[in-house]
Amino acid sequence: MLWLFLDFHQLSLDALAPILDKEEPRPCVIYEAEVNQIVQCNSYATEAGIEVGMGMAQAASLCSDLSIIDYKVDRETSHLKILANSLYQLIGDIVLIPPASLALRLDPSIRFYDGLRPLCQTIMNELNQQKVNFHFATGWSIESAKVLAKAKMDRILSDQAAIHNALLQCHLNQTDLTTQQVDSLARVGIHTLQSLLSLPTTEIGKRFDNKLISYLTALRGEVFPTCVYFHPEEKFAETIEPAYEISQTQHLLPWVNRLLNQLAVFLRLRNQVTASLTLTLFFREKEKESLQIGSAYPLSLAANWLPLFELHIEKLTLTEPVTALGLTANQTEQMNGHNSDFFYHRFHYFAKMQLLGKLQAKLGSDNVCTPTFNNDHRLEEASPAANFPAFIPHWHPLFIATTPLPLSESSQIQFGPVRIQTGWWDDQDVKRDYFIAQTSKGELLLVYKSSPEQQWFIQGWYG
Amino acid sequence: MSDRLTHLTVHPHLWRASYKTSSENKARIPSGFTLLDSALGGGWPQAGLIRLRTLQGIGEVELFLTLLQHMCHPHLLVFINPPGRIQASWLIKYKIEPDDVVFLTGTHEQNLWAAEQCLKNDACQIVLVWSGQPLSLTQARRLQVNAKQHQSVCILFEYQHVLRQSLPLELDLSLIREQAAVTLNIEKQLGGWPRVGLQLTYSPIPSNNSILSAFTRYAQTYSKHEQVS
Repeated sequence: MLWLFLDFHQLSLDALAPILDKEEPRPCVIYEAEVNQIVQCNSYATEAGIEVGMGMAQAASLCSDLSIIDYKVDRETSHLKILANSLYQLIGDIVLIPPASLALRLDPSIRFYDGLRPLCQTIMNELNQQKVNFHFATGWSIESAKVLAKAKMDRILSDQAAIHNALLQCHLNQTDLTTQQVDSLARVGIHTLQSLLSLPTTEIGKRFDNKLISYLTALRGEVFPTCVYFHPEEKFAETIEPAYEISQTQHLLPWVNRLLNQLAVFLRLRNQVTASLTLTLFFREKEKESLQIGSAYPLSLAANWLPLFELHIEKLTLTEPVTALGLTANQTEQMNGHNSDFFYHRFHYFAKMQLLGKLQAKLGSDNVCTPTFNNDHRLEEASPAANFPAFIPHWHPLFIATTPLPLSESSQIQFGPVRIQTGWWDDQDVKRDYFIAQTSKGELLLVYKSSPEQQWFIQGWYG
Repeated sequence: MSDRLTHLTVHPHLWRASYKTSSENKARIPSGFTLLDSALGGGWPQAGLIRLRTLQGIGEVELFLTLLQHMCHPHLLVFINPPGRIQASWLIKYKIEPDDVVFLTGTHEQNLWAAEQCLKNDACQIVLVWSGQPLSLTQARRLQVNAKQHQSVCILFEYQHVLRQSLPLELDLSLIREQAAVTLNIEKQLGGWPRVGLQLTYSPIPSNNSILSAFTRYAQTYSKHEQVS
């Protein structure tokens, strides 16, 4: 058996991030009031010096405009289910470990993917698309993989001996032992799994309870505790709880869109469509309110449903802020022949994921890329991708050289100049005049003159 | 005996020079150039290996623009070993969704392996491969067979300094650009005649015409002004 354990260490933040970041990127932490500890913090908060495990007072003194969201187990578990649903498209054996971990059994699926590496790559791609942060590790049982994932292994090991070696290095804090047990073992000088596992079982049995013994045997892979595999729900009913109360109707839409995307995945997997949905709005004081939204023709895609929801939500007046939203599919029906284009897209989605997984596994994920936008005038800049291009320059070539090459041939200028003067904010300022030049052989090049040596460089080709 | 012979002549893979375009050619994609369409019997083929001998940066990809636009969405468009990073703004300009585009680089063997995987996959209908060294007969044959079987197109860009070899292809082309004029030669095509010296006009670069015309107008008024004074 080979298990992959995924530990989503900041699931609450990841669940809320796509919508929070769109509004205003700012430091944000998840706070658990019962233990008075920060349990998760985003990158802005880390920059401000906040760390997991700090108290509220310390965090608040480090950063003045910190936004604080209460930790809720339900929220994490429901987002975990969403992740499980999306992974269920790729792999069948999933075990939910609430609140924030998943264990996937890899060995039965390996042969469908032509090996372990393409399979893992496909899983990682799906998780990256979901934009979640996680630590992972493999092991021969859920318990062993869990320990390694807690130790932030982040590597795929398939060799038994290698897993065993890695396991022995782990500290007892990373295991499922209670703090009391770890303390009492530390008092007799046992800190790592290596020293614990080398003790005879009878000796441990005299001092500790049965639970610890069965845990250790599971860790060694001698027995395999039964586990309940994840099965997707029969009916679609999801609730989402935003981090804040919503009092304006237009702020409902991003959350509704998220629910609709989940619905689309749900329906696609079951080969179904639906003609009627119920949107439920939950309020703090008032009774919940339900909206029936129907379509003349059974639909599945979020893009088709969203305009209908927009129309309904526009008309709505909120008397009280909304605390949560729910979406239920009332009646689903099987797809039939005349809307067969539905199959077409589904087929391509899986085929596409499989192909990309395969290519990345063979060539390395750095060598397989998708063109991205960057809202920057500098051509060689590989800055983080923007969702929406602010401008589309008509003079850009198809190919851009990764490093500009010196121009060695005589050539004639055909177009230009286009002056780029930008980048003063990040110490990579550029002041260049771009020209399009044609060589005697007819090649069309994007060239510029670099200021110190007055040398012409080729930046791109018009393919 | 003659009965057997007629049986043989109706075989779809047998082509006689006296035939007009076969039934297969109905499914062709117009290239956007009337001259080229008539020479190719309706346009680009929908399946098979196409080779274009070219230089880097003479509008070699833009020649196939209608084919790319037709076959892309929702399928993937894969660039294997392109000469540079693919620019998203170029794709947007021609209404190709950047999310549908993947580009990759590897060694020669890896590139051919990747091309084959892409052609076999249903998510991908069109693969563009740049090759720095000549393909062997078996390598080309594998690509051609895979493309034909899975109804996909593989366009092989071969630079003019690479040794030219005769390969089993659907279509063999070469492209030359002199200033604004483009000459396309159809060296070989399955089910049709070769044609040399097709003159096409298209330009992958924006023009300076508006600026130039403004300059000439300015020059004229300026010279008039000179005469008057």
